[in-house]
Amino acid sequence: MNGHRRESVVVTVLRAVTLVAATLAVTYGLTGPLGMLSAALGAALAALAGGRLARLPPRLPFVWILGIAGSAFALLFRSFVVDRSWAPAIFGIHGTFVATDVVTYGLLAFFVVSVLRISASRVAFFSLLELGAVAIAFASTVAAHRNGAINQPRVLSDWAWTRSIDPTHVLLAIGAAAFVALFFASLREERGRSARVLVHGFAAFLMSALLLLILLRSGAPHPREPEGLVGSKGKGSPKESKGGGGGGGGGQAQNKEQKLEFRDDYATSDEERPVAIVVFQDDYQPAHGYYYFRQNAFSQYSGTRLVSPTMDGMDDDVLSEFPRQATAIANAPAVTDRRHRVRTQVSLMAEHSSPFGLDAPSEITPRASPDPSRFLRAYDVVSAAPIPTTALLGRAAGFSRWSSGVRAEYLMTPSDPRYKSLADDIVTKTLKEEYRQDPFAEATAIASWMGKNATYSRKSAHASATDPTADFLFGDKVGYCVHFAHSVALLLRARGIPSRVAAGYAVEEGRRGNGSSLMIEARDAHAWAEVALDGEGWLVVDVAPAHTLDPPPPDADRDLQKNLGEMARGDKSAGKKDAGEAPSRSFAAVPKIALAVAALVLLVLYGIKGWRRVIPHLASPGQVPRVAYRAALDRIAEAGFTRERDETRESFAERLRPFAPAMAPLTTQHLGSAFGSKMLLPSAEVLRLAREAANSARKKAPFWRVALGTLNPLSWIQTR
Amino acid sequence: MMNLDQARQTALLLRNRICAAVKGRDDVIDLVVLALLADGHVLLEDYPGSGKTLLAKTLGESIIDDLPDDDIPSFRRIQFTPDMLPSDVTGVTIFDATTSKFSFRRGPVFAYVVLADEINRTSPKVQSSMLEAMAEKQVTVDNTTHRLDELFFVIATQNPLDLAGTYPLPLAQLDRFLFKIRMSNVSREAELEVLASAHQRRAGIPNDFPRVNRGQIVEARKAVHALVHVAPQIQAGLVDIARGLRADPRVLQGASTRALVMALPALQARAVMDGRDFVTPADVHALLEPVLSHRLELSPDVAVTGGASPIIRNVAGPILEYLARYSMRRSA
Repeated sequence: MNGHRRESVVVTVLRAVTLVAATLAVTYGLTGPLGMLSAALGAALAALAGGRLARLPPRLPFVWILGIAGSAFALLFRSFVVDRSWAPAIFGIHGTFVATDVVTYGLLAFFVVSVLRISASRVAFFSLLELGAVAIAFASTVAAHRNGAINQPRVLSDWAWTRSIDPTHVLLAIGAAAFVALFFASLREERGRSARVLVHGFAAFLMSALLLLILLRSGAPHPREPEGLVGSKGKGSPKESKGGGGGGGGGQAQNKEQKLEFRDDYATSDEERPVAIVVFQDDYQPAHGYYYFRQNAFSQYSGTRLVSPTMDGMDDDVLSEFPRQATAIANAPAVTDRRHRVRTQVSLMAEHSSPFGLDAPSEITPRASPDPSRFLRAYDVVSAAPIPTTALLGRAAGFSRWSSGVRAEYLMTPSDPRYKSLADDIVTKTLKEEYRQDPFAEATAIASWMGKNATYSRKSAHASATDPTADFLFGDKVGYCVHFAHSVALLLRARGIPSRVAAGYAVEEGRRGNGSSLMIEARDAHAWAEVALDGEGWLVVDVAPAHTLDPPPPDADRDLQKNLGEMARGDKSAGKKDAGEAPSRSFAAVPKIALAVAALVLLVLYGIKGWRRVIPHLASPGQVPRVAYRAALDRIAEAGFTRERDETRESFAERLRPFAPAMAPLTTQHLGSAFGSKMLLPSAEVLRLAREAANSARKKAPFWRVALGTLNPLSWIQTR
Repeated sequence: MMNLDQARQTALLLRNRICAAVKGRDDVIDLVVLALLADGHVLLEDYPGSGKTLLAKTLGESIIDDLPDDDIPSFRRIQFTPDMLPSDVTGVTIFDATTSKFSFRRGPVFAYVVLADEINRTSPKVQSSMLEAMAEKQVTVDNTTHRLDELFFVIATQNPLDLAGTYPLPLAQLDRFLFKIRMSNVSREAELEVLASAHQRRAGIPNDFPRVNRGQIVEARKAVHALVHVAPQIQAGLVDIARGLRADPRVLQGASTRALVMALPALQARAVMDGRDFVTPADVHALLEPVLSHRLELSPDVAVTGGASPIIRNVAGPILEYLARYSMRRSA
């Protein structure tokens, strides 16, 4: 079979263009323009020469091995060259990088494409592989989700969004257009069998419509609950320290008890995943350069760490679950000239166990999610938010409303005397005499001492210590925010200042830019210490570490933040004036209606399919030869055998004889009942024949074929 | 009367016996036996030396003459030549000097199975006498009509290529033949088998397949005619196909009504051979070409290029598909 049909130049060129485009799509982001050019040239060369190469004698396995070896060489080439001193000496450092990129990507593209091309032109099946590779190359550039928030690519989604079109619809439209194009292409290809292709294509369309409907109804897959700093609910050990201080009272709070996790390597894979979007409705500039969103507070000392309190009256400014109605927060700080009233809208994009709001929330009102497929939950928050001020000196520590038990709880410290001595040492060394008894000054001093002396790293090594805080504070002082917060809180308590650890999110002020929306990402999870000042509420005492071992975080996606903000605001006519609201709404309903119709059609089709399958057992004896035969044909069609147009029923049965020998007598029974035979078998026998014929044919067909056929709602249309 | 199963057994006996003698011609043998059962005649179109004579001879030998008194042999062969006279076929009236009376001397047409070899080589006069015998099962000589046997079966042959000095049969006469069978070359295996057994056959080894009685065949014909049901839809389909062919611009003259009448027993016979007591669309599908292809006069341009088969398939296709789907209807 060495009939090398010469394919037309148009086909060769078209294929080469496709492969080059796919190569460019893959290499776009990986290398510079020269590397891309080289990769494109490699791919083009391989695509054009592939047909010729395929005629060379080496067998396919050898070609593959050669291809893998070549690709490996291309990948290793860089370390061969860059590490040698002679290369930079000749090309210069930048030139070396560009040159290696050119060689690496050019060779890689050439080897991969030519292996694909040779395989495809030798064995027809492998052209599927080639097609799949091209499809994946293109799809991968479109499939990225911008961390599950808005679909890629930016050019498309941002363009769509500024025109108040949901980017999902644009991508769906592109997909539908591709589907239609492919569909007609395959119609052309199959020529004589176009009717069958039409049926299959329509079935595929209906199935994908149903999938889409399910997807749209249930919403896109939501991000998991951010692991954050708080161990997720299920994992918290059920019997946490009974001996942790005199926590009487509420036993039922036990199972809600949460604690901050100390981990050796605190890093999650999807840190840039947005978890919430906050829309500011009032001007606000944060006091410390960060927006703090408190979700949990930990103030009860358990012997090794601070955990959520069990005593009534402690941390009553923190809600442990989402409110059902507008809820004013008890004992929230009042709005003063040092705390401004700031209204925000919070829309959650990931599951959370309790609400959080801009420090410090005074009222939380749930509201309908502006887009349930994107935002799981939304609520309005009114906060009394601190603004930059220095007028906090001279305040007394602790709140006057506290009972002595509560105050004692907020002052509980480890028995370790080193805390006390270190705290005293810091205060006496850094503060002037007159400020040494001022709680605010002491807190500031301790936090800044921590910032100067400790090193920030997410790869800490204290988790296995019995007292991780002490291990950190009196050890290498390398840790992350949980260590910092605990240290500050415990040092403050040692100085007799009521304090606690709060956890939630902290977002840098600059991230918000000029817009009114602020996107909170998973990496913003943070823990900090807070100190209670009478008349001021809980104040954030955060540490700004001077030394950090971690690389600086990447910039946030501003466009995404802006788009999400517009979505959260429920403002569909983002870029436009508010004209024409009604038509846009009815336009938005069109896809849903279309999908519902598709689902209905699908349901009806499955109904018919099921009916035809069941009816033989209910039909009158006169009808049995007809309906039983039809049911058998349906099931055989599902296995991929159908009567051709010019085929008689008998010759079809004859063709099926190797697969379903019972088909011939069944056909005779059926035709006999239609054309007046007097020698018909009893119904039971006909039913048995029908069952036998269908079962044996399905057993002989490949499993996937039968499974697909069984799912196909239109399979019965091919039954003639 | 015979039942259908016995009729089928009779046909199968004949078929098996001929198949044992003639290799690689099973489809032709099927049609020939079918025609015998349907009381029609067959025109074989093939090159010389392709087993036509052997086929006809074996058929004739397979029939046991159970009426020895009538002096009619099982098998006769007539080799047609241009110089023949009708009396060479039908027989002559001769004057018997001893009795001073004219008596009729039967020609070779008086036999159960007659092989009319190269029927297109003889003059129209002879042809027409042969064809009268075929249509009426009688011959008229000197105004006296002599009946032929009830089981009178003609296998005529003609060479499709060697047309020099021939008198092609006119359409009206071709119409008398139930089937025209165009034989194709035998397969390689069959040809090898023929070579391998050539020696034995020259020695004339006895064919030990059982033979059948003349009377059995006549009975079987009656049973087929009486017991096999032809549904009205099938008849309607036949008529529609014939009308469709007549209306087709490529066809100058379509199939006659007689052709349809003759086709019915053939369809019934095929059903019986298949073990059924009813005619199905598949029977129509299988027999359309042998029944109709020689009955159409095509417009000259089409006749050169494609012949009748594509036109028949073309016209009959939708009607057959309709018939095939008819059985799935609720009203069926």
